[in-house]
Amino acid sequence: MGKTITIAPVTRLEGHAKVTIELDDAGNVADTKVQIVELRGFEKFCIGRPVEELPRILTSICGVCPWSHHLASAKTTDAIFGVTPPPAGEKLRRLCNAAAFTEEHILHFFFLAGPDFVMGPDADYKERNVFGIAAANPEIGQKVIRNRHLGARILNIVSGKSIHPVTAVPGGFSKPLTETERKASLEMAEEVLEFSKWAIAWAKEDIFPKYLDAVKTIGVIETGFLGTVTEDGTMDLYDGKFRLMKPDGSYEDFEPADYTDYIEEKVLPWTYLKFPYAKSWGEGFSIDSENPKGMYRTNTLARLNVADKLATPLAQKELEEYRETFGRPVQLTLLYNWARLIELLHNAEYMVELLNDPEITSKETRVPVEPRAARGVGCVEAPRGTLIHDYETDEDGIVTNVNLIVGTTHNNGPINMSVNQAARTLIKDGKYDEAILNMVEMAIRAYDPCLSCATHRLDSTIAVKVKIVGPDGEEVATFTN
Amino acid sequence: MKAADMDKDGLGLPLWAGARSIILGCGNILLGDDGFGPGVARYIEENLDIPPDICVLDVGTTVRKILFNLVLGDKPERLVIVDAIDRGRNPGEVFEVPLDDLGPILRSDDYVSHLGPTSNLLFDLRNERGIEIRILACQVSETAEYLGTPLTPAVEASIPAAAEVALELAVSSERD
Repeated sequence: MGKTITIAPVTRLEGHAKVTIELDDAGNVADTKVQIVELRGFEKFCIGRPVEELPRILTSICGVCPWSHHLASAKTTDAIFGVTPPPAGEKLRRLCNAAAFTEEHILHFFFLAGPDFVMGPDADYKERNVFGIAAANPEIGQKVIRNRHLGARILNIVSGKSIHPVTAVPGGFSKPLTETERKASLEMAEEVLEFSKWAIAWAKEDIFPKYLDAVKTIGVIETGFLGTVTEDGTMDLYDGKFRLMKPDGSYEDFEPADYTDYIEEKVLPWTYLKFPYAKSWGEGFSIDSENPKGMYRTNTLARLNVADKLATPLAQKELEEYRETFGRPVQLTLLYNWARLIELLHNAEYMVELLNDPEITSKETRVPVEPRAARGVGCVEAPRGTLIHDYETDEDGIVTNVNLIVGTTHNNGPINMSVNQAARTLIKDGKYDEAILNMVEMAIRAYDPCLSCATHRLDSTIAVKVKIVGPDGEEVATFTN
Repeated sequence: MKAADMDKDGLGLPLWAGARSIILGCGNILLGDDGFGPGVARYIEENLDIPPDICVLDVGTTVRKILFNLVLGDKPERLVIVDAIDRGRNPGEVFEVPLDDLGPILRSDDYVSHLGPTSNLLFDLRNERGIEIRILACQVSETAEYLGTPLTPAVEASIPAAAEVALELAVSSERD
């Protein structure tokens, strides 16, 4: 029996993910597992509630991506009630989605993944954070903070409440936008657009070229992809049909409501989180990084792979350049970060477009609804991947069944594959050190995973501990961070 | 001052803009005693007189976003973090936790954006930005594992007194 390296939280209650690397007797990687804790009791909690409460309740599931759940839930209730929001209602939802995307993508790139690239993966951990960026580039630090904040301010203006939103309701949007609010938001959106243009230009010039070797090697796997597009194949982050693409680039499009005909969820005994896979491919299920079956990814990399084009001109130009360099579909996991900046630009352009649309200040933002027995499916692209909400109600509009597939769940298999690939690449002949942790973390961090928004008590920090256990179960060595 | 009152021009100013102290009630209201922090924030807003230079926010599970904003932007003198904790004390007991008692800086704490309030960020806010950090915690009775679990009676009963303490911490300063 070989050794087991565990990158784990101190206890299950304090942390939300555990990475286990098992070595064979030769000291090479035999197996890896990424165990993610899934929030439990969700379905039980929702059943028996009036369905119109869900868009408001579900924002408490996730404090970082509440808008995605809020909008997916509102769309699901539209389907349940059999209504279509008026154009202004939909446009206001789309505007909030775009603003939330800009906020999230700026946060992820500059605060989370970015420091690895800006300071370098070998930089001292104490410098490899946003303070390090600010110290090295004070002007950049201020720009980042300001523009991330502008996204939140636009949400506050448009919806009245950016934290745990309530404004998307069954049938539309509860708060029309005034002309004063529109102008103020437009000014901010234009500033975010300028920042987004700068961000991708700066990253292409100063950041990504330095790490192309890492991009081409770390966490690289081969999977299919899932995203949302319009009838003509244009990426749409709010509504459209699903496009499920195979690794060879061929694809099939289908209505989100039919997702169960294409996607199934596998349960494995060593983790609570399920593994969605493409059952429609007919190849079965496997998360073996060298022989995957049915695996597909979501999130930025996937969306840019499945879309034929983007609806906004500057982002479309960036996409064309990105494809000239990397082709289509792109499998390089660390390019999630490049794709993220293209999406940031797209969402900034889209905010400006919507805020220049005269229809967005219409007072007709919602339609009335009547309860009925129905099933409804509502989907949006969340910053972290395709989000599916699926509810059933009785004739009084009371929830009888709920199913959610969130972005990270779709990526559960691929995350496992990327960790396996990274570990196999980095650990040979029993040689490993703390630097490996960072590389494995980079592979996971690229997916911007939602590692559960359950307890987050003050003491719920994750203590990363790499424990090496000998064949007899005795601890041989420990690295802690 | 209540959070809503700080949005003077109705155009989405940061809710904490200009505040000398910010009280952040942190926790998931759907997960039992984890809802302590939001409960305290709501109690303060509904029952206590809030000085004009103090901002109280029920931030739920979104506290990291606000902390990120404070990293390099406009900053208060003091943050009061109100949250649930398990330190093996009597359920419902309310006590201050010195920031340094949260343990060493953990690189994994920046792993993803969903965890908070992260001790890494709090250390950085104190050490890099000079913000005074006060942590007011309540010992949980149990850790909820399922959505929809309510506050336990012991923790719920502690909210009014905790609210008074939180406001006092926001008003006073360890430098005073």
